[in-house]
Amino acid sequence: MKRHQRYQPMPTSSDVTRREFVKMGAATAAASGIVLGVPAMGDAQQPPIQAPPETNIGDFMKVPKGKHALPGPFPGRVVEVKDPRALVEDSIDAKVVGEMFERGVRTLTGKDMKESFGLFFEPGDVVGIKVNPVGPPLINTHVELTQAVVNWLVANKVSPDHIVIWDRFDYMLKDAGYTADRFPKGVRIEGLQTMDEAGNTWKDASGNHVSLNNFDKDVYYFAKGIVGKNVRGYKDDEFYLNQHVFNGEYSYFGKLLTRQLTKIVNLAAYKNTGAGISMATKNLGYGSLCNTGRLHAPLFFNVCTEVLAAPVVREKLVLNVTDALRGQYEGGPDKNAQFVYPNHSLFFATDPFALDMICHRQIVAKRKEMGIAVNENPRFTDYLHYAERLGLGIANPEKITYIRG
Amino acid sequence: MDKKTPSKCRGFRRTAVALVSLLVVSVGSVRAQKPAGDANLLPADGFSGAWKKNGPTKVFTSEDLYGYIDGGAEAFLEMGFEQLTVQKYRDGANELTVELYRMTDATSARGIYLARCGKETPDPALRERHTASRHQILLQRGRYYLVLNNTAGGAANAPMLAKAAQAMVTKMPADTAVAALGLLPPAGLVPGSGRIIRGPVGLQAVYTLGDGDILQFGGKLTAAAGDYKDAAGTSTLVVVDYPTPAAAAAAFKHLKANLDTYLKPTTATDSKLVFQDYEKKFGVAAVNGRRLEVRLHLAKPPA
Repeated sequence: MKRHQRYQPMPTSSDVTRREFVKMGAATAAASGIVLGVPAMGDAQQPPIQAPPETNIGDFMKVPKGKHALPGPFPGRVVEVKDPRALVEDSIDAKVVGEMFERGVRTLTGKDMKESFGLFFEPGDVVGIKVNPVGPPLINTHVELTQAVVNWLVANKVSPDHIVIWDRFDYMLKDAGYTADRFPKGVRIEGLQTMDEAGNTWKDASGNHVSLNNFDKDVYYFAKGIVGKNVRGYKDDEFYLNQHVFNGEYSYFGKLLTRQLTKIVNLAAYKNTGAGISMATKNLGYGSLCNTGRLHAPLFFNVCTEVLAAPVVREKLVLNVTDALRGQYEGGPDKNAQFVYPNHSLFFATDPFALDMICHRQIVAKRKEMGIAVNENPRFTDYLHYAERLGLGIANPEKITYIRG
Repeated sequence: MDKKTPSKCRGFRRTAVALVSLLVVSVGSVRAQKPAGDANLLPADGFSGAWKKNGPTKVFTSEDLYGYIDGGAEAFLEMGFEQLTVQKYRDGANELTVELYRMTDATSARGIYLARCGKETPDPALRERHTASRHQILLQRGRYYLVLNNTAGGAANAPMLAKAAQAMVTKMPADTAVAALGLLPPAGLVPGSGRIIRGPVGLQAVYTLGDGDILQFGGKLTAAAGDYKDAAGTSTLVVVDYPTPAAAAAAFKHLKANLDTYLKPTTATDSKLVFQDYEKKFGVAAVNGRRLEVRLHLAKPPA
């Protein structure tokens, strides 16, 4: 049954129907092809491009954009700050990381830290810091970077109890070193959900998932006909529900995002997933909502665009910093130590799609340097071009301003 | 009617119900039982200094592999996966994680190893096919693919990784030859570039020829891929050996009809397809008997 949308679609002159969105998806390859210099397709042997499953992206895009909507004040602008002192042997230098963070923000905005704060935040904001705790201690978002962000917020009078460090799974945060003693008193560290690895204790007395009420049934990402039962490797519904809280065609956003946070800072890790990357857009695309296992095979990268198009993300995401102090060029998205290397970089952008395009190209270059098989089919960045067509960011490399700060 | 008949029937029914119940219970028990895993191959406590097992041995099958490697299980399942045994070890603050993948055969194990090893950096203490760093050892022997993670990453623990591997390989069955790699002609083959492919996930890592099972592996075939260097540059060759010439021809026809939209056909016959890719390089797919060969990344169109 179709549920009521919290975000009521409002008619605008640029209304786009779902059918038109499917058509846009069908045009993706050809359009991207022109951008990337692929010959136009005209051969009668070519099959029609398979339309992706129907989603509620059309509903998302009908909501008018607000003041802080993506791509933010600096579309297509990406800053990289590098400092070899930040990581020596296995030790992260928090002081150097703090300096890098300030240099990156100032270079991105062209303003000092206080003025930069004013560009993104307002009094009373509740700020969510989305980290990626997968793969500690090598390839997760480092605590030292998160501390630098928290320090900046607190220095600009954000109350610590208005700061929430979050990921999807609570136990992963702890494994990655996100404990209360490492942050000012009052800063909250929260998982959207818990998961029991043994599969026995994740239900409450009434048989429901203990994290059920952490998700907002009024705000969701819908993908027609895509359900967890069809995912190979999930043995049964119980197994799936433990990891995903809900099954079915709806992925509900966490109430943390829909009811508490007013701004989001996105701190992604720097790593590959297959021939693509798992960085800024995937950190939020798969980290803001539940029931995502079903989405990998049929939609995968499109989710990274469409979930970020949801007003609950699009209107709140003000800053992206990709933690490339270490990088992983192969074997991701899980940690694979064989392919982890010191990279000593932080990347900054308000536009997560431009940011991911720059990082994708750098990971491809690293894979080539290291002799890894590289599949450079443009389909692995189609989702970024899709975001550009939706007006969410810039993906065309020729339109991206890349600055080494 | 024999008055005993109803009673006999009832008795028969009771017996049948009891038997069926027993069968159901038995099947249920079998289903509920967790496989034993390969705990017998794990290093014993004290294999190196004070290192000891820490926590229970966990076993994952093809039904719940996503519980351990969310999002990355498909490559194992496609290659031919049976069981994963995971055990953690601890020595003070240091932790070792042993992941022992039992694949369906040596080809599967070599396939997953080659897909994940990158540039190999061997440890002289180990004879099996492997690559080692202070963080990790990846090793393949027979049908086993072994991953040892030095979680803390300290260089002082690196010798412990090799000792754990040594403790395990002596208990594993001997390695066997992997015939699939023989599909690749040796002349010009770049050493270490050989890959085994058993479906679309493996193929995608090398090249995208189209959506889905574009070369019609059907979950049954094994292909090989490798890089070749000659005066014209570096190219990649994918060779698939089908059970019959008709199957090879059908796969070729399917490829021709469903070629990836980023690849533009330039010439096509019943047995050969030449296309230009997104980097303006050329590819050629040709079927000959039971074999389908696809050569990629060519600087010039083939003659």
